[in-house]
Amino acid sequence: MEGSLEDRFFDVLLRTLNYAMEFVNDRGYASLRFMDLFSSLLDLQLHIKEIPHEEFYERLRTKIKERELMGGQGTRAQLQSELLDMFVNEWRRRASPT
Amino acid sequence: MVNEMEVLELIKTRRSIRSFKTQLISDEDSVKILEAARWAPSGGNRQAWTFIYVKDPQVLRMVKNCSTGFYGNAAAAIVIGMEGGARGIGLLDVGFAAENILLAAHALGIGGCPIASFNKEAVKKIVNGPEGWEPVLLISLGYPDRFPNPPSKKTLSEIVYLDAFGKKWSRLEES
Repeated sequence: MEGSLEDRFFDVLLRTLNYAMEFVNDRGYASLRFMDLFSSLLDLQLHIKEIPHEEFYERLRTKIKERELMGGQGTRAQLQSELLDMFVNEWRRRASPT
Repeated sequence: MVNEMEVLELIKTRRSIRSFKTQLISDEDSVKILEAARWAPSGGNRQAWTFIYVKDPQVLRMVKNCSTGFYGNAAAAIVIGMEGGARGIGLLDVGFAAENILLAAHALGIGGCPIASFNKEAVKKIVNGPEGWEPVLLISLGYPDRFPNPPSKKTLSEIVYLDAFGKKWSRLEES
């Protein structure tokens, strides 16, 4: 894996979400546990000073928290899809010339 | 005329490559590979496929992030997609095109690997796929870093019957 620390963190987080999505329709806890891992990694970002773009990660945390508070509204698959959109949009935003 | 031995040798020596050198693929060779895909057979000559050639490292990085079956730092990838996804004969068409891509690449010294395990929703978003269109198969491409040994293959006598299922063909017993 190459690139800046932030790119690498972004990639690891997105891959974790992707694994959670892959198992979302399976029986068992794999998807749930990958989402736990995703949240843990996201919280870890708060302690990594070298990673800017805090706003994006804050928005991810807020999205997950909001969904937890609403409880039962929307499925895990919907949440994952919305999080995926956020990643793709953020990637586009970073890639587009300012 | 095409040399029969060369074609058969090309087919037999192709391997799925999952480890690549950093060398880039020229546009000239990329187009040759895509031209081979264009000439693949398709049911009723529908040619319903679309090929998205991904060579931008940032797009490639995102596709890889969302593809559990994508191994190695490929120089490029081809996303094969179809309107409405591939079902029935459409799936065969994608397979025909994929084999042409892999053989053409191999003829040019380029390795590749077909990848069916990927997040379709994510890859569609990454490549800006339109409504109704679905990615069906990815193919990674690059110059091989390692060339795998031939995999074990069933003998012809194990998989071929003559005229009726289960009827052995004596001609194949020694093959």
